[in-house]
Amino acid sequence: MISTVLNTEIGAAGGSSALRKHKSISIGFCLLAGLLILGALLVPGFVSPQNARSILLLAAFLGLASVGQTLCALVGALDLSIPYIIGGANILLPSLMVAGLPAPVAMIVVLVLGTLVGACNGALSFRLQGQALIMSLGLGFAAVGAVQIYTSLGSQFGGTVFAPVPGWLRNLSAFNGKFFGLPFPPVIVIWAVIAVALGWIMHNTWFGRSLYAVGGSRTAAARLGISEFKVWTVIHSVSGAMSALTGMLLLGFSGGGFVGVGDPYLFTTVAAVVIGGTSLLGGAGGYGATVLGVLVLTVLTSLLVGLGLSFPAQQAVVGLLIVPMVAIYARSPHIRNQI
Amino acid sequence: MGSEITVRMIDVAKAFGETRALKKCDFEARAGEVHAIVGENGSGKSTMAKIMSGVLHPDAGKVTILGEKVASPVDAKRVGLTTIFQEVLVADEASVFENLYVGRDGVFRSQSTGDRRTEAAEILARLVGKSVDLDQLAGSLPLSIKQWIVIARAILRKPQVLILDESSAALDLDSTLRLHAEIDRLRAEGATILIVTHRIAELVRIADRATILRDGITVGTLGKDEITEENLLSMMTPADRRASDATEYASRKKALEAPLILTATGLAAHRSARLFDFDLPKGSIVGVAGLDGQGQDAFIRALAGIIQPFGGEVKVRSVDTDKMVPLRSLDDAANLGVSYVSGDRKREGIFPQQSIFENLAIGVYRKKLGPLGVIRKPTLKPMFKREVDRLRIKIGSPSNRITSLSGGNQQKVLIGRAFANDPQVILLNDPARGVDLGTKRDLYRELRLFAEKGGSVIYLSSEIEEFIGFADRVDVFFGGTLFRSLTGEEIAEAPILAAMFGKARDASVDFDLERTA
Ligand SMILES: Nc1ncnc2c1ncn2[C@@H]1O[C@H](COP(=O)(O)OP(=O)(O)OP(=O)(O)O)[C@@H](O)[C@H]1O
Ligand SMILES: [Mg+2]
Repeated sequence: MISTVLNTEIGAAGGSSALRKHKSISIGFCLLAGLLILGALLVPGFVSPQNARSILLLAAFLGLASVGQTLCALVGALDLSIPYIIGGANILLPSLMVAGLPAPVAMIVVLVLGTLVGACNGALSFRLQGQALIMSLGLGFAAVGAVQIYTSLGSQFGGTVFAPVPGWLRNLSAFNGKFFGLPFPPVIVIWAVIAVALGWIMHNTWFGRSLYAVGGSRTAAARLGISEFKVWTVIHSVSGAMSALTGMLLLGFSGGGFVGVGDPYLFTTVAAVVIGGTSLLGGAGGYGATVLGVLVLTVLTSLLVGLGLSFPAQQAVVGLLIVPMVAIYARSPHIRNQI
Repeated sequence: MGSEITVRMIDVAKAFGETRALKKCDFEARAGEVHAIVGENGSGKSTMAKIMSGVLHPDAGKVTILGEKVASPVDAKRVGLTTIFQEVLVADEASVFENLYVGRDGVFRSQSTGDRRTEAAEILARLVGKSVDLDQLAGSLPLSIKQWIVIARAILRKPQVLILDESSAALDLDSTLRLHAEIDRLRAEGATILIVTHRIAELVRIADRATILRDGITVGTLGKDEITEENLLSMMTPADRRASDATEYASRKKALEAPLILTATGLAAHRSARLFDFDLPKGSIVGVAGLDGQGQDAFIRALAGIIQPFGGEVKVRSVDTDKMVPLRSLDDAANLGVSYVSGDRKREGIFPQQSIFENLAIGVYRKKLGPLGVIRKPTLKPMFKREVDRLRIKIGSPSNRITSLSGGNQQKVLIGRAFANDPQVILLNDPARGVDLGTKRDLYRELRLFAEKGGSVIYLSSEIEEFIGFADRVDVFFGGTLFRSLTGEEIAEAPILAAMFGKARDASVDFDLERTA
């Protein structure tokens, strides 16, 4: 699946830009291979169906959460509301079900709300560009706060919400979920389908191309009649929707709603984008690259856990990995290539 | 002359992957001369300049500047060589003042800020012709002022060797004269000035010698008296590619009697300017001229729907209904078949991270959309090939990045983008910036063909020579308004100049070499 997405990207690029992409992609593949080898050598049971399943499952959550971050990075934006929307969705869904809404209806409500928060986020951060980061952070806070007020009405559970999660939702994303009898949870397939579709959309639709255009040169894009405002609003809406989806799937994974479940995703979505090789300055990269970044990050975490590192130590290692990655890719082109 | 040799290149070669930008380059320049480097787009001129400046390293051959080897831009600075590169490099987020002195401070500063400010204000006033606010952010300034900032930055370094890679391309006539005065001053002080330009008039006026490059090979050097358009063209272009002779077209009065396709009424470039009307007959070519800042730039942008004019209205005949429909936005322009080509390719034209193909095709995607905004790609390949052939764009693989093209070829891609839309009106805002002579002629020919088939053209240029034998009418702007329309016999250097300086029809403008000497 990764190779399909990557191939569409290479096919559309080719030539010297392909060389650059090849470079970042081959670095990604080497890293991934290196980590897998290290894991196989150092951690007993690292190469096993169980471990592969758990890596892919965790990667799927991160991958879905990173969709929006990738799209935002392509136009030079960052969406800091992702973790809050994930957390909000994760507690809103069970409390809506407790309130008596049938699960599918509740899920649609959460998805729509997530999209709306994203749309506001996009529109406002575009209007107040200088403060875009604070804006997305603030909106995320506000959203999750509102959800918490709602969920804690008449309950004393604070951040945690208990509700019976329907079996099919559990099966979607639980560790022992089954995909038509096959021994892996369907969320992995959902992620794969979204990744392939997104890779195709980015290269074959006006929406995808206008994203790259806005990220590459705002003025030139404006001359083509591309509305930067629309682009920002749409990608932030997508980001909101995908965050809400991730939050709901995480409910199936853990079985109980917890508002802090999204917290790690602030750093990891950005990290996956950067490790994959999408420039945070906009215009270059793509979701295929992020898929690679997600896998690298998840395998690395699994390796560190296998080695028995504590959570703070894991964080330190991942943090240190980002530094050389940023140095390698996220640079603007050398002055030689600008003149 | 006969003075010492300051710049020497022997047998230099340079390749980028498979593209051999320079194959065999021999070059010599002396102190106290203005030496032009001439050649088609993509012939290797900028590559040569970058090698001299230590930005690129040659694959083979020897380069000495003032007797020393230059291996890096730092070396170049040390020996006293300064280059003004083709793409205008200005930090948009920094002030004019900071831009002038960027890269000048070591750990210790040798000059006080006060001295610098006086020096900077002086030089800008001299170059721009009016005072410039040093604390303004450079990003908000027009391209011509940015170009001046870059030139001033170079001159402030008091170079022994100064390389100007198409630095006059963004300047109007008046400014070009001031630049020439500056070059003359440096030459008199014994500096070597190398200029790269596609403007023949400029070469004839100031170059002492000219070296011609063809496909990465230096094919010869001409002395002052030998520098003529015909000599240059025959050396620049291989015989088999020497197409379209300078076929002279007469200004077609008839074309101006056709029904109007675009009208503008009650426009003004700024609040205090006199209102004017404008019309464009179908199938005609109208030239727009003026010194910098006379309102012509705002005018053509208003026609393209990019900016709102002060009052007034622009209307275009709709293809579907044959009625005159107001044009108020970029979307209106797109729907009415009005295409725009900008001369400021770096800022509002190219997408630097995208391929050549994408850069050309992106202009037509919107016309090729199927359901759900899916681009119908199969139709794009033939279109791409057609435009590349039409404009003879020199490209390697279509999937290479646009920034791997030479400046002129990047500009051609943007012109191709406008043509690819099959527009009924095409607006060109100084499109020939940095485009070589042969291609300019090809472009005129293509625009003529386009006009003969019923398309209409508005062509703004800072070079008056471009209009002669090409435009059916020339509208000259002065003082923020359309000052005079010229047709027929009047499309000639003297009448256009008179109008540009706001003089009476029969006044002779004392524009000549004396001003620069
Ligand atoms: N960084 C690069 N990567 C790949 N090819 C390059 C690069 N820089 C230049 N070239 C190629 O080398 C050739 C010479 O380019 P160069 O910029 O020197 O031309 P030029 O004579 O300055 O043209 P122009 O008049 O259009 O500015 C061109 O074919 C160009 O495509
Ligand atoms: Mg050049």
